[in-house]
Amino acid sequence: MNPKKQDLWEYVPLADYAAPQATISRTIKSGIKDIWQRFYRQDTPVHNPAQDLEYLPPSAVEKVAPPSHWSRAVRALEIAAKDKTGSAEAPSVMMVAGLPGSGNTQILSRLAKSLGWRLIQAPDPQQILTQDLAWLDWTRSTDTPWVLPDLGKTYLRHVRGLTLVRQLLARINSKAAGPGVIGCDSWALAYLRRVLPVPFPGAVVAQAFDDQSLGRWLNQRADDGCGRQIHFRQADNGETVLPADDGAKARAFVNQLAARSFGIPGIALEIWRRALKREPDQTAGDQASETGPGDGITIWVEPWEKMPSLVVPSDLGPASPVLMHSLLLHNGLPRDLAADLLPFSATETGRTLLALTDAGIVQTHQGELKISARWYPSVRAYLNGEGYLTDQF
Amino acid sequence: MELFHQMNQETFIRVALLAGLALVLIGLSQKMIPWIANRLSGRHRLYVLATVPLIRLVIILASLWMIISIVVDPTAENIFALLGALGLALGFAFKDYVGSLIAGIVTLYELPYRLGDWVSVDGVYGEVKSIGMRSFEILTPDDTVVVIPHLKLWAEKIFNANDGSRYLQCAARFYLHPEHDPRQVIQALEDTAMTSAYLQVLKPVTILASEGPWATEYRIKAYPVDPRDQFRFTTDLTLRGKQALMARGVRFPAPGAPDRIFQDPKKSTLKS
Repeated sequence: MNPKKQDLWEYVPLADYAAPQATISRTIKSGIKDIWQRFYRQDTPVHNPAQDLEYLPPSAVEKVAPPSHWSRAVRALEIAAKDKTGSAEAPSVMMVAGLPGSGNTQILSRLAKSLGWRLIQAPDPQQILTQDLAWLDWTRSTDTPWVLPDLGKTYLRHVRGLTLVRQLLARINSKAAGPGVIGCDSWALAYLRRVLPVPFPGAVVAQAFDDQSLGRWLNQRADDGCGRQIHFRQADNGETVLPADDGAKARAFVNQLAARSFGIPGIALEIWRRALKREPDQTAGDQASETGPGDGITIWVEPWEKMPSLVVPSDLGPASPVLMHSLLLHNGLPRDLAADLLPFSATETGRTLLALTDAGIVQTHQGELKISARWYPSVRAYLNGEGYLTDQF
Repeated sequence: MELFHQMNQETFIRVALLAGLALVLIGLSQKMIPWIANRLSGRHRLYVLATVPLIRLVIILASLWMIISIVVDPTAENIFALLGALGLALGFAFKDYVGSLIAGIVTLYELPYRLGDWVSVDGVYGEVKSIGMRSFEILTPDDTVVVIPHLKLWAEKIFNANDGSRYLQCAARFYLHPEHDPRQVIQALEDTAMTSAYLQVLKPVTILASEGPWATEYRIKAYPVDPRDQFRFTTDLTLRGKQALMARGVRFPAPGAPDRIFQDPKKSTLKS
């Protein structure tokens, strides 16, 4: 990625996606640390914060590192969407692949609103399981381009769960659905490409943030949330973690953060939020929005070496990899539906879910069970090691 | 020239200590390496497990050489004489035992079975759990440990279902009434396999059909992600496949017929 580029968000063909890499020394250190934790796992990760620093309270975290509204991503995608779907020679439907934590569904929903295109709601699970083709009626009207935020929500890994998506792709391929943009979670895309032998629309993906882009983006988050300058300094040596100068070389912490999070902003933000500390008598972040701009405040960042290295425990039960994999393939599932789709008894599913929830690996988000953003890199590595299908990124 | 060194109490103690140390090291390697392997994932687990017999062989050879050096003046003549005498004695007394030991060594480079493999020997099927000097143990799906001497290697057929890899093919069988729409059946069975949570989607799914005297047999051949899930996978395919076929109105043979499906029609005494 060009270090001097102005736009953080760039949509590229899937083949051009490049995940950031950690330095070799850090990779070795991290590998040794992971192996050590595998053999001497403790119930809770070891964490020894410096005596005179405390973690930021949630209210302060919300201001110092608030979640993104993805406005800049929407703007970047608008340009790509108009280029791809507007041209007579170009394919009429564009696919936008999204990695977990990349905010793809929200970005596409906002894209529909900003372009004035039809926003297509995903079918509910019952429609999928009853193979209710009436849901596809929206494809008959081709007056206005459409946006379907997540193709992954149009199928279920169930014997009757592929009919709807099969029909939808057939209509898209026959150009019957008209021009549009279709989002798809990267895991669902990997699975559907394996099980459905049909052409898929040409896809783009938001380029991964390298360490410099990630540093700039985290600075933007702090600016957006606090409205005043914040100095992020490493707790053990006082080094600046996010240089104010956009062209400056990224610090080791951000380099590791970018590699660990695969350059996915949502994942990086979740890890970042857990590294932030302040002095006990400091009110950093708490009153930031109430006070006017000044000389800025200092937030301390836990050194990367002291961050807990999350390793998926091996004693979560035989159902746990299947369950985690299903949650990723469906980009989250309601609890009842998860129990219906999985080949386990309700007791076993419940027991495994409890173990995964207790470990913090699975959490409930908007009524759906999902792999938590903080655990995603570890879960992906674990499933890859166990031989499960993973996304191509 | 004397074959043996002068034997005294110190010699016996050194030999005993060496033998004891070798046994402890072998025991430790047999406990520690599987313990480490079980904390690793996928293919790394199999690689680490495969080192167990190799490490044991190295320990045995090293300790034997050290013991021989203590007991015997290790010249070429002495070694040949000793091995000849030992071979003669053992050949008569422990023919099968020694045969098993040698077969155990052969397994190290022929690799007919490795730890974690699913093998069938003499009609016993299970996962290889340990490979000893004389025998190996397999754990059957019924949680029974079966000890099988390596000697079987010489004469018996050994069926290895995954041969050191993580890919083990499973088959779920369905017996259908001869009157049915094969396209519908194939689609239903393919969807059944493709949507199984246990399926290794990186490997192909094959649907095969053959005609029996009383039913059409369909087989889904597919691979689970983890060979240890093979029975759960087959169960999942069978139950969901049957449900999918019933939902499409596919009929099954009349009660009683399945028992006779694979009888040789020439020998069959069934009434028409």
